[in-house]
Amino acid sequence: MKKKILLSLLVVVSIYSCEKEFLDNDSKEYATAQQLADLASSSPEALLTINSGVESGQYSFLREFSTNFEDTGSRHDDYGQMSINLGLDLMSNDMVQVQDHWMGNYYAYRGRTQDFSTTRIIWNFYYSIVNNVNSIIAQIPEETTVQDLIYLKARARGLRAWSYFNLVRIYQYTYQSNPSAAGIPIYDGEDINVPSRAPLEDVYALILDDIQLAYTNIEGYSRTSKETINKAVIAGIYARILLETGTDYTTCATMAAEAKISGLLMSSTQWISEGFSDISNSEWIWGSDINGESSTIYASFFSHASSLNAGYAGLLGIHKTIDKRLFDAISDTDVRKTAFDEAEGYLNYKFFDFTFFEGDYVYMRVAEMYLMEAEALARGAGTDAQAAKVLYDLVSTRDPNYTESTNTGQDLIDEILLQRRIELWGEGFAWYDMKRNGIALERDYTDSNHTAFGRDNYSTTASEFLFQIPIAEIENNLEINIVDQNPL
Amino acid sequence: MILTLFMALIVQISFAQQKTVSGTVSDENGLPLIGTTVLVVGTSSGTTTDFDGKYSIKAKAGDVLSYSYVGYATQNKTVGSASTINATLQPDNTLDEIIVVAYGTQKKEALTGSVGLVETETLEKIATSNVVQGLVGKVAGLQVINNSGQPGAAPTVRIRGIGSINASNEPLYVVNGVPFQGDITSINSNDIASFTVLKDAAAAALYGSRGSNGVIIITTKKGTKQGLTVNLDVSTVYTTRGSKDYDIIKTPGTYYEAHFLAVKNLLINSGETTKNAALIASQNLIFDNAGIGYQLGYNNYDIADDQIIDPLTGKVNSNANLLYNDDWDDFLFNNSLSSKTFLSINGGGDNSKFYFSIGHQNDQAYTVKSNFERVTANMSIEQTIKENLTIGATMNYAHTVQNIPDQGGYAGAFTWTRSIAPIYPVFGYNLDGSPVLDSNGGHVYDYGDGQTGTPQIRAYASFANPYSTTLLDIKRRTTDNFNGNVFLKYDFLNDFSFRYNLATDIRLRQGVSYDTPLGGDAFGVGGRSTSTSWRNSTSTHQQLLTWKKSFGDHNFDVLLGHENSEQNYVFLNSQLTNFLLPDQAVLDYGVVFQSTNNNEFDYTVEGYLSRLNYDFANKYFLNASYRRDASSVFHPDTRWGDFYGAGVGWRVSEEEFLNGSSWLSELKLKASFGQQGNDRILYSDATTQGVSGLTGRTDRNYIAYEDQYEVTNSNGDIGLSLKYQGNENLTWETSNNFNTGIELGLFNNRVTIDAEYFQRKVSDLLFNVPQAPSSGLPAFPDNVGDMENIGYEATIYADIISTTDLSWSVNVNATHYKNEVTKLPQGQPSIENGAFQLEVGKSQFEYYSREFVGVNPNNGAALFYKDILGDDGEPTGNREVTEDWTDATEYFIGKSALPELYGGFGTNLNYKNWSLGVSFAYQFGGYGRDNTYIDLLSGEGGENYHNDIFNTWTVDNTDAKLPLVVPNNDLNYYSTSNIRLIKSDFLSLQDVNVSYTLNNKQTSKLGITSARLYVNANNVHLWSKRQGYDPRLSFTGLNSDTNFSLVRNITIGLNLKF
Repeated sequence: MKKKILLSLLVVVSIYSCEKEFLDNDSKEYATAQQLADLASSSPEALLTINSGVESGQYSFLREFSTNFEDTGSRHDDYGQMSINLGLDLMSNDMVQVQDHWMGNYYAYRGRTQDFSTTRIIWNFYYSIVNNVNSIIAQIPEETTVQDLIYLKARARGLRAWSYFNLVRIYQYTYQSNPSAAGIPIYDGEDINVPSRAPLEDVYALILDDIQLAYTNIEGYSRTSKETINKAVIAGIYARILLETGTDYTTCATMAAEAKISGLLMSSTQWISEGFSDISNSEWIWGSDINGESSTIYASFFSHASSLNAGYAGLLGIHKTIDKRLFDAISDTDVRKTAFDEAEGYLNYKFFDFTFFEGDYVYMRVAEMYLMEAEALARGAGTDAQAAKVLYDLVSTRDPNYTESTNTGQDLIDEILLQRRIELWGEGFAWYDMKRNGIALERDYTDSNHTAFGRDNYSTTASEFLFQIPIAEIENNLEINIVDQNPL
Repeated sequence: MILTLFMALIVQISFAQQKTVSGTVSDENGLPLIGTTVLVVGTSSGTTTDFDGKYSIKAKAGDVLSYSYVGYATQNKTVGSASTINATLQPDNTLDEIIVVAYGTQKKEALTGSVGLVETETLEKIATSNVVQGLVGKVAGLQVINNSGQPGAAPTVRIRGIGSINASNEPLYVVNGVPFQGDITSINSNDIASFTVLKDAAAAALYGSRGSNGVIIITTKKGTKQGLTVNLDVSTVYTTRGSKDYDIIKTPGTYYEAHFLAVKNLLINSGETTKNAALIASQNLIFDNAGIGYQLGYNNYDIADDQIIDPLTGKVNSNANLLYNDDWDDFLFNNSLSSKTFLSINGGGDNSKFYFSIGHQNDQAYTVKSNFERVTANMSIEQTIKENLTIGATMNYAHTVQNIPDQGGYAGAFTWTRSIAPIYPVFGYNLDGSPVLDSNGGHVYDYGDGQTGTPQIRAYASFANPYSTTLLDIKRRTTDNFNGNVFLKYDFLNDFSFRYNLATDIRLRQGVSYDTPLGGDAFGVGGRSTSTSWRNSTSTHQQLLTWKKSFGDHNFDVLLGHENSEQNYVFLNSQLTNFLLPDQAVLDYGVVFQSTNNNEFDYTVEGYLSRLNYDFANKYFLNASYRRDASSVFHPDTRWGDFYGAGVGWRVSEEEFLNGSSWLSELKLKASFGQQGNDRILYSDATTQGVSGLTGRTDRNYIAYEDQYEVTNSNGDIGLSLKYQGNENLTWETSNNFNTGIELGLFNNRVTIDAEYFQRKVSDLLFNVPQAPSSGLPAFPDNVGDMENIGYEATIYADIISTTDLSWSVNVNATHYKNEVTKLPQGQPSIENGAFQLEVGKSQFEYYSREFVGVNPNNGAALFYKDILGDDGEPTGNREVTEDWTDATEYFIGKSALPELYGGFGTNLNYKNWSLGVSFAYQFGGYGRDNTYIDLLSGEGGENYHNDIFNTWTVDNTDAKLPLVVPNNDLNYYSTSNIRLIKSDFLSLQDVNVSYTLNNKQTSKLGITSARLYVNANNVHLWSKRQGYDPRLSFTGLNSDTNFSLVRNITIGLNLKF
């Protein structure tokens, strides 16, 4: 009897004894590496599916609100690539912010210092992309013969080159000024792992290696949407890189010319009425398609940049206006001048959108290719006449009275650079161009229309033209110490 | 209806033959004792006394009657010739206090560990819907932080300090013997029979895996064998704000003067002459025509925009008349009345016992449209089937409905009323000051966006009007909480007992969050509604085998057991925009799809446990326990952990050399050591513990060993992004606890002193180690280092006066502890951790920040310290002063967020039928960060100022202690430094209770055993370092703008016992 009782007790106890399955739970909140590995091993197509997923994830990341994992999602000046584009333009001579508000950290040059969220947002944004595309590159075997995997890896390299290229220009002076200056940490997910500040020449070596491989291996690829990068985008990035390094203007011109023909310049009417909010625009090469679901509403480019949308600028009057000198420099017959309203305090009407913050974002368009090709030709890849012709092809579509330039040498280059400022105003080029061409910040001039909180002058060799590395990097990266920091 | 059913359950007791003896049993005061057990010794015959304390029983002459009642000494009387036998029972002071401990109960004197007990009288006086909220300052070593006065909000609870850094520090709740995953708010404090806090390893080790932050054991009421008692409690609660707000500017004129000052400062600072600066500042106050970068937009006066401030005096133009001045406080806050009702029935006989209760509570909050309504039903039944076989069940059900207006960001009522400049009205006004009316003649709300309401742009939070959106939004959560617990107990072979417990906890939530289409940030999208459902269920099985045996003076109590627990959580929500009706939030009325989230998690733990309790002659005690546990959070290779505890106790007072001492009634020495675990690692970006946000994903990382990718929508393609990195080697954080203490009872236990010393060493801390952002990931979960908390705590209780009519007692408790990080990973000498920094030898709560030195009298700049660097780039050890905040160095500034001492004290006074209780809580010696105060001096556009702005540096006030204020804190003088720190000392009058009890012949004629009328007030008063600064709101004294101020509840109630 006693034995029977004890026996039955043992049975009861052992019903719930430790079975392995009881403690092994599948994740149902996030996809785990194990789930992805199981899927990947099931077929070569699955490897493509997963890694294409990682790539697509980056394209949506480019337009996300709150990309920065250290903040809890309330910063309305963090909405991906376009916030950085607008922010950097707000650090140039050409754009004015009329009130201190969101984006004011850029305009007042506060955001560049190590404790500000601004520098953290930029740094984390690009490094997050690098880390994700590194995993694509690492997972796709070098010896693969699956064409789609080869294309994918090429695009991943293109994105990585683009990310490092943007970063390195923000955190150091130009390559030309000192190739051995301390750059940024580089990782390629495989053998390169330099957490310290790698010299600019090493950073650019990786960037060039990536972009060249990307360019070679993307041959033949055809994309389904302008959100994905393709050969034209890679060629455009390649041209940007070479224009910056100044090491190979010939290839630069070739690449720009190749990307140039991937689209058609928009008409002057289009330019002022619908040029910057619709990805179907013939001139757009690369962009983001924003819809009701992906819209980030008030924390978006059109909220901050458009004088007509009911956002920070359009409704609350935190306008982004044009510098009066640049405005004055635009020919009166140029249709682009009508995108600005002098009487309303140089208000811009370049950026607007008729929807409720569903305007699309542009990252690369054909006009820039004309300008790069012209500049590369003028800087030695061709003759001044060739350069002037390319410039004419662009500008004449904006200004019916424009005549082909007879300028030569530096004058011609200066003319091209002026057209760059006019054509690309607000699109994230002006500050990089100032650094590249040694154009000082000059906002405190007679009759300046710059706002007091940002009315400063700095030379391009001043520390202001460098962002400081975010403090979190210095605190948590054993290879970068406070002595390695950019000057205040 | 149900009531009658249960009445019918009270089985009538059959009587034996012979003559009938009757009588009355009363207590020492002559009051009838209801439910006294009267037994004829040696027979099975017995009865209990009725409502009047009367009994009658059949007995023979010569029989011995035994009268027993819990808390009183049993009395025997021999039946003689008389047929009436009255008995007066005396309180039994030597009664063994039975304490609920892990997996059972123990006599108080047998405890070798550290256990805190909350008396039921204390629990009964708690007005808040969450019982734990009422325990501030009540138990030594227990810190209860009420983060919010929102009704139904859960407080933060810490037992003996902080054990973890990134893992959760929440204690484990055990309800009716089973680890509880539910919501404590679902338990009605009136239903709680006992509330025990297990503080050290000897006490808590049996909950090994999850007990490292201490254990709170709650046992709900059960039936008793003492006949039938009915308890009815009805009360009304009056709710007001618990403490005053900051001394902020309340009138438009003063605000204009303050803002003028800040703008003038800015202009002087950028090179203007004082005179010009004043002129430009006054002319551009409302509209910035000078390109300063700041403007207010609104003019509340009947005078031109550039004439409001007289630039010479800095004062409002004497010709100006105020047109409007809405006070947001009047709209967003209101004092409120709530009601509480509770009824319980308790009874039983020899073989069956039951307890049944229902409760209703409707908490109206201090903020508009927020409330908490709860209906609870509690049932407990125990039935002895055979002599050795008992089954029982406890069911707790709670239905709660909460209306919770948004409190985040601009939506928060407290943030808003404090932060918005008093020039911005609730309703719209035309430029002439007349109200802006809608087509129906109604006064329209002002959203500050220039479109609706006032035709100007607010410099603060345009698009927002928390009053209108709170009224128009629908923010409701309905939750059904069910907690069921069944057991079977089988006794066999004389000394063995087997018990099987099965507990299920289920919570179902339906949430609606509707942002009105009529205004606010969903205006542009035609309204936005999110409908959320989730289900969180946990099942726990326990098989427990005990053996109890005494050999002479040797007493053994052995437990072997097995426990497993499985939690499953399913979340589903969907969000749409563009809705047909402004008051109907169901998704079928909306048209534009926004998002759907659906996810789940499972969490399983399994453990084997054992315990030995041994004592010799009730004098020497030994407790030892061992538990082996596995958690699904960790990789299969690292998921098992071994935990143990051991304690010894010696009741010195039982020794012969002390026995018979007139003054020493109890002296016990005790010591314990043990190890417990913690598997509650949070995600690196977790902000709260629990389930939060639109996505419904948990803050706890349940699969911490895996890399985790987020699946995103990339315009129809699957997007993947690595979100969290996993660590296969991650394992249990272990807490090694040593505790030693003395329990002293003097003068027949009129004075008791418990004093303890504790060491809590936490090793293999679970921590999300911040990674270099260039590595692309924020953090890596790891077991990083060790930390210890060393401290003392003491509780003193004294019955100063104890007579029949008058009694007076006082109690004090105090805790002191220090925290120190003792080990960090190789090569990482310091890890940044918010305002603090982890460094070996330092407390994890020692502030690490820029050091504010003072104000430069020449220009009002804040001065900070900065290290002088040598040629090698390393600090030379010397420092200099800088005015540039960004250039200043961060230091450990020798101030800690931890108080040196915290605790509470109180007193109870009873005179005849009157009773008065007062209790205080306190803390001293720590520092908090008062960000709210500093934000009120940093002059963000359109934000209000603290009146201290008039004490800051200006050209006319150069010896001020506070630096120059400019708009938007442009100069960083008020950015994070120790200027934000303030002593977090406080003394708080937590509760005052007054009651009058009636229990005499009149009441008993009405069938009422006792009637008690009471008034309880809590959060009565706070003394802190600065008006508005409430250090009680955060464990680290951090005051953030979004804190929901504590409320004061004054309860008037009537308690009737039948």
